[in-house]
Amino acid sequence: MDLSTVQTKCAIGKPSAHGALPALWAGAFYFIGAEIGAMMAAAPVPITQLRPGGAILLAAFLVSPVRGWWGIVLAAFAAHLGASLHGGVPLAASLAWFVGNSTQALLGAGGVGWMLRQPLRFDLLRHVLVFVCWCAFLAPAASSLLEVGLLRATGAQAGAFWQAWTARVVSSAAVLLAIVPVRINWPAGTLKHIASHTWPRQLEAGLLVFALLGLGGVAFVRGVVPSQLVPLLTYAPLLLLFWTVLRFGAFGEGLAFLLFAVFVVVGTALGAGPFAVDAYSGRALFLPLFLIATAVPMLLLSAALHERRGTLAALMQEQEKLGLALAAERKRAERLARERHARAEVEQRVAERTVELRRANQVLRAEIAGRKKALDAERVAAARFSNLFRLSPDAMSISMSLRGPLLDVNGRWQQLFGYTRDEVLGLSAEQLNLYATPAQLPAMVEALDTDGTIRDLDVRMRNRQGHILQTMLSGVTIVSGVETCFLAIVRDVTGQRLAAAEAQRQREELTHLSRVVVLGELSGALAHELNQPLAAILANAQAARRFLARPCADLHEIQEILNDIVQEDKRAGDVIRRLRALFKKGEPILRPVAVAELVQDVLALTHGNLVERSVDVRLELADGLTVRGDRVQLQQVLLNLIVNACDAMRMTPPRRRRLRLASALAPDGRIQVTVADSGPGIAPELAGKIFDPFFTTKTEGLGFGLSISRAIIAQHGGKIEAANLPAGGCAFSIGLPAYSGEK
Amino acid sequence: MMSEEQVVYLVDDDAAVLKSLGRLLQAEGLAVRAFQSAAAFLREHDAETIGCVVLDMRLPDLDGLALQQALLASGCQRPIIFMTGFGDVADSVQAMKAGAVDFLTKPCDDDDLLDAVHGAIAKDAQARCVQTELQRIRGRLASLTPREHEVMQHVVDGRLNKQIAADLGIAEKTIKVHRARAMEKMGASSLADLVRKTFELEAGTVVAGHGQ
Repeated sequence: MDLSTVQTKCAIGKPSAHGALPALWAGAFYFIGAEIGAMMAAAPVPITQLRPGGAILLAAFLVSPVRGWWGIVLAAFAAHLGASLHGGVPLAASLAWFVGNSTQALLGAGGVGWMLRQPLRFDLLRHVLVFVCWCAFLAPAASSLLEVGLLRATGAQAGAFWQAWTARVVSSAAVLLAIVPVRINWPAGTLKHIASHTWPRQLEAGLLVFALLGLGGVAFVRGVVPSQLVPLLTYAPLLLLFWTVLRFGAFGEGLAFLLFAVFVVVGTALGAGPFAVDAYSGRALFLPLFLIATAVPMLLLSAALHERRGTLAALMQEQEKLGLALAAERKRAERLARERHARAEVEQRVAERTVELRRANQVLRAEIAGRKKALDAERVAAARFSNLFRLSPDAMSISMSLRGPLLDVNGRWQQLFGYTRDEVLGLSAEQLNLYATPAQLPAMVEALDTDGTIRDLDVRMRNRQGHILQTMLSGVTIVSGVETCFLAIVRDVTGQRLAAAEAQRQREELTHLSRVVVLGELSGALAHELNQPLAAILANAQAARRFLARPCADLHEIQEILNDIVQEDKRAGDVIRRLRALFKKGEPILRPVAVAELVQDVLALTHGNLVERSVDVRLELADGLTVRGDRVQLQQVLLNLIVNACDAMRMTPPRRRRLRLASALAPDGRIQVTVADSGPGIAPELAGKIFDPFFTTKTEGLGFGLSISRAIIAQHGGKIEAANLPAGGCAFSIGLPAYSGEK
Repeated sequence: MMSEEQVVYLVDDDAAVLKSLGRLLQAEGLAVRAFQSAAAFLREHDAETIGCVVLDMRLPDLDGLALQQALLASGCQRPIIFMTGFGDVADSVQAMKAGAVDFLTKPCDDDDLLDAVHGAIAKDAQARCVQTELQRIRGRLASLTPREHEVMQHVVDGRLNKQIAADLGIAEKTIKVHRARAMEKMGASSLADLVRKTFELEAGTVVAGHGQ
């Protein structure tokens, strides 16, 4: 039911059509209404008070702007005069009626405009209340006072004042309630509006109209139905009116009520219906009251219904709007989240890219710095090389190749070889006869070809004076661009070699000296070793002499004695030979040496010493072990160790003096010779020093024994170590490479 | 005396020396027992036989001086002749103090050795006679009663019977009886003989001319 919009259009649309047309329409309707009123008054049962003029004027005012009102009043006045003249109404009464009608309409429309400040609407309960209270009752009440007063003053009407006023007010209200809503609710384009409805709805409306017409006809037309059924039929249309209100709203209701009212009035005027009797008496008060009692609830119900529907619709609309807003909000939130996510991603990408760029920048910068540095370095290197070449303490030469002509030589070179630079440029080293052993040259060329360099090669060279120089030659082929040249560095090591040879000689001297010292320490024991065979020889010889002095000498015995003498003499000879070997001075000779034999030899020399000192000797010699070395020097080492061991046990009680001599093949393939004593061991604070030169604990020692022993073992590619034994005493162990038979 | 077996004990760790010295002594007709170590000698030598020891100063197990001490400690006073490779004054003094009869340097002359050996054997024989006499006197002394021994002590100290009786608080007559018994038991022919015998016991030697 969109009557509200329809009705609003009417209210707004009307003012646009101001001017003459509404006034003419109003005049036309006013005339028709006046004619109908006149017809009613002249009916078989005259109903004089029902004059629709006031209601028609009010309706015209309500749908027109205020400035159009005077036109309407003029048109209505013209129509009123016309109708009055046509009906033969006296002028005074006619004027009084018009004053009453127009006053009523002006009061009503003015009050509504002042109170509502907007066009009147029958779908709003407040508007309906204002309309009913003000337009339908108070305004007619006021205008009726004026009208009835005028009538009485002019003498056009006689009788009781209040009775006339009451009738006038009640009938005006009934006519207003029946006519004004229809006009106000009248939609623009009525037919189109009706046609726009669906056919079941059109059918329903038709049925309603038919039922109203039927019931009205039956109820209010005399003689058709028994009189006892009349009250029932009178109220039956009310149900149809309710139906109209529920189904067709204010406009439908207005139309239906107008139709109903027309039936009731026409029926009563024709002398039928329940109100005819009343009208006969000339009062005709119940008819309008009945119409009022029917119209007011219908109007209120319609407004209330419409308002409720509007509220519901508004609520639904609101809800829909909220839903839409909620959805929009949700979408916005989602979009925001998406945007935020996208932004974060972008930010992260930007950060990553920034880091990459920064890194790339750093790399670039480092590269630039590196290149710059390289360039500087190259420049510096060139200067440096130039200085190096010029100032080098080694003789340097640059030639086309190893055997090619010389391109440059430095100062030291000139000094070393005795030639000036100008003399040698363009000549090769061979041409200058610099190589004292030219046979070395092919090997040098080969080394240069294979390795590209020659390193510290011992080369004998000759200077201008013909002196032989022992040199160490290093060389490198330098390739720069397409050119190649050979840089030779010659270091004169003649003096160095001489010094080394001298040092070697001194070392040997010292080694020998140390040996002699040890033998000196052993002199007593060595004397004993010589003494024993000599003593045996002497005793044997004397015994033989005595045997021979006997009358019958036992020649067999003599023979044995002589054998023993020979044996002992050899023994003495052995001792002397060993001693001579040790005393002899000479370069070491490397030969395979049987370890067990070596140990036995040294033991033979020291036997006397060991016996004298009551040292118990234990031998643990493995068979078949051979090392390669100098016999004398290795003996010297063992001699030193044994003498030291004996010295270490000086303070040990004689019964506990033990010397263990062992030789064995160690797991690492080396030959291990151990000399262990049962002395007090090495004091911890001295452990690191015992192999140092000049270190000694003996009052008569030189302090060379162990340091020389270590040097000897080192020259043999071995190692000597000392360690205290858990059971007491100290063990010196010598590790030497095993001799496997080569060389 | 000379009919008893006399043995020369040779101790030297050097087999060749041992053999040659043994030959020399045997050529002189002496009985020789040779040992290559001190331990073997101590284990096998007979303390009762008359003889001497020819000992090398240096031995691997026990040196000469220690062996000398060991022999003395066991109560054997057999004369010892030391031999050494080269003279060592300190060693020789110590050896002589401990009763060595001679100290020879290797190689030594055969006459020197044989003289020393003979002298040593004689000395051992003599010492053994003294020991026998002393043993006899000691046996007699042991047969005295305590009272007789007491009285004898006083007598030897040169006290009169009367003084002894006063000291011991017994009758002089009884003293006389004890004195006579002691003299008899000791086999003393006179007071001087008794005094000599007790002196010999105290000195541990025999006065020359009175031995058997």
